[in-house]
Amino acid sequence: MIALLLTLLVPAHAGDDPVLDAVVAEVERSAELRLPDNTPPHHVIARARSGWAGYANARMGALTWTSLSPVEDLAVEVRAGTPDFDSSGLGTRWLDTGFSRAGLPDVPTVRAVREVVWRELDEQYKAAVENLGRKTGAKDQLKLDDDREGNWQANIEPVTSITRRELIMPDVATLEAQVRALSARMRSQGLQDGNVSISSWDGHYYVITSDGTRIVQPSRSTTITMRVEIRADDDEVLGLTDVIAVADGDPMPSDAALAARVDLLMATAQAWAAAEPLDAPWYGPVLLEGEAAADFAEDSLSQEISGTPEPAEWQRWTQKARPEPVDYAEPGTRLLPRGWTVTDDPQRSLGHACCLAFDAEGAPSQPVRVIEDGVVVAHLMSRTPNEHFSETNGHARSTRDNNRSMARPSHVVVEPARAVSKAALWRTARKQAKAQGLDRVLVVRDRSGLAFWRTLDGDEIPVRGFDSDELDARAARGMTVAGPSSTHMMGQSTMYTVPDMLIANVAVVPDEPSPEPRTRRVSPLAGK
Amino acid sequence: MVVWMLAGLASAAEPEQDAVLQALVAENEATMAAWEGGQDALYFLGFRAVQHESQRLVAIAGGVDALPRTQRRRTLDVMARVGDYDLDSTHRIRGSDSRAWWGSYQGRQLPIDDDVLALRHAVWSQTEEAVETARKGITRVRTNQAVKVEEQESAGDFSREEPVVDLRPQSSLSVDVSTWTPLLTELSLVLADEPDIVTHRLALMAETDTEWIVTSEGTRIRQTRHHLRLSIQAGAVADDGMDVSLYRWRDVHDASALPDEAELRAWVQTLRQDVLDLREAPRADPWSGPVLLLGRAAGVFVHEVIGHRVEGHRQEDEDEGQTFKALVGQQVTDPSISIVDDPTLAIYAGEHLNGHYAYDQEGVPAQKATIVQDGVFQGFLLSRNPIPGHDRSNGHGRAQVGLAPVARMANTMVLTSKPQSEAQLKAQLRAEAKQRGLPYGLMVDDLNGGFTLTGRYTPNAFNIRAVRAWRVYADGRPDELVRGVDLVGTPIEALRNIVAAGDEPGVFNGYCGAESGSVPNAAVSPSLLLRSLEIQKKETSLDRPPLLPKPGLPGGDS
Repeated sequence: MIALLLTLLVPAHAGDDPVLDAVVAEVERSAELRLPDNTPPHHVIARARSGWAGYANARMGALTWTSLSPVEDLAVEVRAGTPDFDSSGLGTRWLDTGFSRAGLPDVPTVRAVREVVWRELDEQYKAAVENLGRKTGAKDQLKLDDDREGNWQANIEPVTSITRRELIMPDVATLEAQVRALSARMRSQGLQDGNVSISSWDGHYYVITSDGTRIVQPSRSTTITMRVEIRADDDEVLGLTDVIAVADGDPMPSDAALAARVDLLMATAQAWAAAEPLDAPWYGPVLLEGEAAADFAEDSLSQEISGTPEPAEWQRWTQKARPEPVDYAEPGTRLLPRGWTVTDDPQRSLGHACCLAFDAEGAPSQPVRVIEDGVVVAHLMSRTPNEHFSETNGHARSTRDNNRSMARPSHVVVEPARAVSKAALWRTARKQAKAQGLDRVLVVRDRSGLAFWRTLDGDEIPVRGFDSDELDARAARGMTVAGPSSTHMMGQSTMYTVPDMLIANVAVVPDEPSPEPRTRRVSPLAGK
Repeated sequence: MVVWMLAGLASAAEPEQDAVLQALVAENEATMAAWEGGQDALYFLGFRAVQHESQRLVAIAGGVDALPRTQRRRTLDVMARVGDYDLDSTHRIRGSDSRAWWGSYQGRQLPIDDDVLALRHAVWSQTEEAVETARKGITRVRTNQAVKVEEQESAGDFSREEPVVDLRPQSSLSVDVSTWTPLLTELSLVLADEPDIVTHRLALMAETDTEWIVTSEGTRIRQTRHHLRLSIQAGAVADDGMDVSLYRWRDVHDASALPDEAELRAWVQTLRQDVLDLREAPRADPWSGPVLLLGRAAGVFVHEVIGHRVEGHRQEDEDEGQTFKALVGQQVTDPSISIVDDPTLAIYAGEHLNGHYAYDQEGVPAQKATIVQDGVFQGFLLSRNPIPGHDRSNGHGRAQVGLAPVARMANTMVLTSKPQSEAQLKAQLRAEAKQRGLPYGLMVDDLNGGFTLTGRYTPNAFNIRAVRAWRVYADGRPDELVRGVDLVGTPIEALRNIVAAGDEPGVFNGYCGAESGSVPNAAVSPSLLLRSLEIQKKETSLDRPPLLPKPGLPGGDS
């Protein structure tokens, strides 16, 4: 039915791009926006998404939700003032500061899209002028922007790159069949619950700026999310999630491969439920392998290397502003041991959700070495300067829902001074345990909450009640040995390539027990 | 031809082929058996499952803003009660602004596949939580009873009602969108081409709700509600910054009752001109005097003035104003006026009524409730939450998905025994103004809703959001359009000020929000003339109109 409608409703001139034409026309016209006693905006950026999204979710073998819909939306950011001092960086990240999002028509026409862009730019120009007034008033009250080379990097070369391709509408019937089949495997496995969802997207990203940048880049991705819940005998309940991201150009994993992932997830959950709880704090060596190492790297590094300052907060009730919080690490700060390097390289994984050829401000994405010899030497930057760096290096990223962009990692590659084999890494861990008078090492492999005691003889005993998010990031500086590297998607849009890591001595405190109320009946699916 | 078909997945009429019904009944019986006996015994378990299907088509500026596509979901609400009908786990905790059962209704997703085992699993998982909430609730209630002084009056916590078995066949709703799509997109250009109209949209929405109600008392209900809305919105910005937006819509139960092409074309042209006129109209100032509420506006007035105040549960809540509790049997308005709430009516005076249903969300048959008879206050709208003097429901327990039912309005209707023509009412309006030495009276013919405050700690007042009003001059000058009018007042005084009613009923179909969420309803009334009502200034945006001309206009920027 949808396909039939499309043939009725697509624009008459095949090959035209009504979104591009409309957004360009209105962004160009925005130079005429002018309130009395004010200047026109010094910069306008419009980002649009246009494509198709398919989604299916099934719980324990039965479909709960399915959809196929066009995704057509817009984000605009208007900056009033001058690049040296403008309306940005004060307020909240989302509201009243010259930024807004809006839906675009499902079947875009130049006229209908222009109407939306016209309204949004008009409203946000007024909001930006108002925010500039607030910020000017707060300038003397707070040290705002004093150490920065302005608020916006002006005068960069505009980029034109238009790449379009035929869109493939997600085949929702296939998605439905897959989620049904995969989640049906979760029945009769002693699980409390289980579901599988697949979301699929194919479309184009647009970045249009008032300084002449015109970017259209295609993007296609599929994300498979599997989740199980299991109850242990002490009524602790574990929710465990596995996410598979399929990059543009990669084939979907085979049904057998997906089934194997489901089975592995269930096996992990069952092992967790059967494991003894961690009953006392642990002080000693911790070996982080695979996903657990990537998780630790993300916790330790992502904020520290991202250079866009958070906006100063405007408090309506006091009419005062709080200074902008700084989350990034000062250049020269040691985050990792000597000899380690960290590079964020979006070019390394083009086609994945993390990585596009151009960033959200239209700058070409590029690899940036942010940590050299264990010390911060650069930040990931957008066109918003901070007190240390004033130029973009192509790392402005927006969240999946097209929020305001800021510099964020895309594909982080952590390289140790020296990598050893898994066996050699274990020998070092064993030696460290012995030296501390301990009979075991804590080994963590993923974010499930399941870990292992590995005795000095190499035997493994499952243990649960350990939260990897609680590991102290400062412990990273004490790492001396690393093992083989592996690559993991963290969340749905950032990749980490990191080595296995051995932390010589770190405190691990058990989670607070939080048993769920006991059920009187078992699920009707039990044993079926 | 492209046709929306909202038919439901579980279209089988026979119980043995209805997977949702089977799952609900099986889980209800199994759960009751598991929690039988002892202090924690369940005495009532109710399930409400809703399958919602919807389609939407939206046109703006000659294009399609929202493609027609079917959305389908199923949800489940669970009510578990521990204790007995007189005192149970839902009893109000005195000294605290809460009841123990707020966790019971959750509106969680159910599978849309007819897989009985998977459905039962989802029902089981949610029911276990609801039972746990009820068990904790009864402990809190009993402790609260022991600690506090004896309650002054309690009518019990849950009324005893006859179980109902009525499994209605599911019916389908079909809409031929291949004719609507080009018509709506073409007509959207009429509004898009107008430079001063800043926002506009034409929309057709269709939805079908299939509802299953299964209780441990034996109730087994399956009922279906179809709803379509055709709407047009257009907005402009006045030079003083005020947003003026008008909305025309029609709610119907089947597609054949939607406006035809000629009527829709007339709507668009009228709306366009109305918005432009309103943009140029002067703003109203605060004022008090005689007011004539035409048709639909009068319906909303009655909804806000009396409707929420006669919802039964408010009569036992010590935080509520209980405006009419002590007025039963007393004259509250003109003797020519009667007010009823009648969800059994699907159509009245040729208009489809949004508040029609066969059974409420507690499985009680819909019933006509008389609120005012010949000006004398009679009684309240009731759910299964009893109040002193009223120990049975009258079929008004309503809720949106995810929330617990309370007594709510459905089709609130004003009737008059002395109908007058509109010309007579206008003449009387002028006479009232003249008598009070005022240059004009006010006539309100369009509004977009209202709200009312029923508590004790806020002014017990109402606000009716008029969008179009006219000064009707006592000296016979032409009527003058004004904008920015909100009608405000207090309920008892406002009812007493009704002096005359018209001869043609107006129907306002809409959705009403209160603690049990948004529920569809209708307000039906003839025009009402009030001796006095107050208007206050409407809140307004202060933004300048758009700085640049609207894009894409013929002969303009393109």
